[in-house]
Amino acid sequence: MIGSLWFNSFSAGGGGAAGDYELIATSFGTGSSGSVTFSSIPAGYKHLQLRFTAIATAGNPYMGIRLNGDSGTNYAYHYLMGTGSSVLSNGATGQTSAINLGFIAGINTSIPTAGIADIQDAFQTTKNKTVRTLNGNTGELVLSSGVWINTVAVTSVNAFLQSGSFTTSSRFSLYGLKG
Amino acid sequence: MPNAMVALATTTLGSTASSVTFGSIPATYRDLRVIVNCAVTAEGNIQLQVNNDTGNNYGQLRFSGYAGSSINSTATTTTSVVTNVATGMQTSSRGLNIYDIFDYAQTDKQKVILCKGYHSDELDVISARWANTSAITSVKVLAGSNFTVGTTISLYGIVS
Repeated sequence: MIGSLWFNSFSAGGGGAAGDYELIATSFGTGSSGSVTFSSIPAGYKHLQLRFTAIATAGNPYMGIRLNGDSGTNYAYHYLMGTGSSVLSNGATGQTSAINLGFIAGINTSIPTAGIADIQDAFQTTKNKTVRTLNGNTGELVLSSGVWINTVAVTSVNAFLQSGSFTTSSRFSLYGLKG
Repeated sequence: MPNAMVALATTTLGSTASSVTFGSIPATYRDLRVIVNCAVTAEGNIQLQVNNDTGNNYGQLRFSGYAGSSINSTATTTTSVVTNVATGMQTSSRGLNIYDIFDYAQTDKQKVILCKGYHSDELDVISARWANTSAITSVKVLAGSNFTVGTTISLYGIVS
């Protein structure tokens, strides 16, 4: 039989049973700050995931991610960016406060940039920390990977703009994945 | 803590179908994820529409990689979020599309949809925007032709 199928029946709202993908916290932009930090992250997970929709109050600043408040030259990243007409690839080492970990597209003032950043093995103390991101709006689409040259457990995640502030419509949610 | 990703609905087709729609989606969640594991009866594009909007309201930016050619990036405005352009996922070659729909129930912003589409001939990564601030209440996935028997399409809600 050929046709269309329609479904209207769903599970009950809210979270389900205890599981392996848990919400740690959600934070919103204030309109007056270009920085959002999740601190005192519990260590009962294997990986972390940051999901966000970000809008800037001005310009098209890039967004960075910083771990444990480290502003030293301990980050490197590489990215693949599509602009709709060209594909760019670049990277940098020894990064501090520019685009520290992963390269996140310029944040438009009216159209959200949405993204997912996965912080792998965030609590393992035998390896440096790798982050991969997929993020974009309709002006830029970015795949990136970054590394924080430090083996300590991640205890805080900071998302920040190069300039300007996150609007109050900006949303950041941090999740923990068990493993 | 409860699981933050909740399976809302899933279907495995027992007969071919040209589209699958999830309607009356509750506004309880923050994000939606749609996973399409499919094959189609003829070459065509897999498309996603929301709220039954068939207008020219979907802006999208993509990377596409094809066997034997270099990666390219294009920008278009179309009547749906389109993946697997110019190639198909016919019965012998299954495809997998994963859509993340952000802040779907929030009415203070247009909706961004990130999509990764894979099959043996093509890789697509897409950032799409539905140019509307309305809450999304339905999601429709369309085959360019028909989805084959055994195609599985699932909808998940992610809490925040």
